Amino acid sequence: MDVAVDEDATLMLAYAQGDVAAFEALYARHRAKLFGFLLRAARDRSTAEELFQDTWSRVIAARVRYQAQAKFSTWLLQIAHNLLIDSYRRKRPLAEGEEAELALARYEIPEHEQPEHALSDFEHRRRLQLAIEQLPDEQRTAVLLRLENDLSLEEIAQITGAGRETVKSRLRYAMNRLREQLAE
Amino acid sequence: MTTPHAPDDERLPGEDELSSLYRKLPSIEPPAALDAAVRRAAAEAVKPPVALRRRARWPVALSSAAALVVAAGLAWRMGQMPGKQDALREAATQHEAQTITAQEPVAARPMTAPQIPARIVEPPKQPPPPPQASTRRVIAQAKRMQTAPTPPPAVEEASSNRQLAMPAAPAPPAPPAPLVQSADRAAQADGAIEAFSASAPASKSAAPMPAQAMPAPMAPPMAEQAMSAPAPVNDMSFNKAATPEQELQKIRSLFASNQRDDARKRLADFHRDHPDYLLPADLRDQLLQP
Repeated sequence: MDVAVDEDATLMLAYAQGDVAAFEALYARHRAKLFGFLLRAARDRSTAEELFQDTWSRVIAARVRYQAQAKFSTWLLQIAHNLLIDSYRRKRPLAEGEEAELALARYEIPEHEQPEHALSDFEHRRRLQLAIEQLPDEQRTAVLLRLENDLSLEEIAQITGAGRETVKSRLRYAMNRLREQLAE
Repeated sequence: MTTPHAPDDERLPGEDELSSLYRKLPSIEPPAALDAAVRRAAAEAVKPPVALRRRARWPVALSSAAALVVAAGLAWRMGQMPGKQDALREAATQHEAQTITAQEPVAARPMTAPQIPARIVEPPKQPPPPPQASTRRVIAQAKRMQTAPTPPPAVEEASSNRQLAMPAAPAPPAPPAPLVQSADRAAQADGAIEAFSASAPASKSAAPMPAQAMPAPMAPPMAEQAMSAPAPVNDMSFNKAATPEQELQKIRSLFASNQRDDARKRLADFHRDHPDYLLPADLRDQLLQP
């Protein structure tokens, strides 16, 4: 474990002892990446908010049982991923196409970041966002864990419960498709 | 999450370009309300249990105090209402009198018979209760039901018989001298009795009968009631708590024992105290004599 992992584990153990400030610090570290992953994976704002709150509720409830045997981020994303799979299984209708674009429009790039000279770059990012939304669930999850959270193949495999080579294959297919979409 | 990839972790083709573009996507933040909800849940989960225990105690103490106040208030209110207890006691006495009266025509006869054992005619320790208001009402109603054209003696006899059968009336003693009843009078009495109660089969037998009516043995409950019945006949002294029938019986006894002056005085007093009471014919004649 590296220093950051040790810090996360220390904060979590401190929170388990009743240190609310430790939880505040831990939450501040992971909230944005977790929410970004859930929103882009679920493609539905209300579902993402619900999953986000459920994930942290599980963390709070499991604070006493927590053991620093794995990275905190891996444990956190594993909880979130399991909830996400449950959400898929409930066959909740997911946003598709324009609907997904509208769901993410709330988090669109601010106007001041969209000067005329940057229109091409803006268009690239928009295309990437749409391409990620259109990936199959498993490939989308894998690529989001890789790009959003910088996880290794082993960590993604641990979180998703798939083998390392399977994760590698999913990532390869997903990235090829993203590149094709951006090249159009 | 900020951990860089492990050195031996292989990079995929085109990954660096995609990663660079992905990092240019806007950072997505959870809503502030969601942040607040999560932080609140985290804080509440590790609250010290002492505070929770203290919060859980005060409602118990408050409810106990409230229950105590309510109980004290009820006790104070009950202490302020003695009249209600008296009313209950009076109702119980009335019910008891009615129960005794229902058996009276049979139970009253032994008391007037000369063969009555001394212990039966002994005055009870407690004076009998005064006639109830409901009893007076029934008597007055019986008087009203008596038809006006009926000759006075018939009215009196019918009234006398009716009083014997009235459910709430105290034990009226049988007159010492048997009265001759015509068939019409008996029919009138029966009609009046039926009008009041279906439980008056002894009305005819309760008519003045000499002591030869005694041989029928009393059932144990009736004997008890006879023993506890008020109005001892042998006690001639004036009893304020005696019923009108008992007082008239005493007056008759005084006449029978040749104490006429005393009897007439008691009769006059009775008529003054009970002006609306219809006197039997024999006593009314005594009253009208100069």
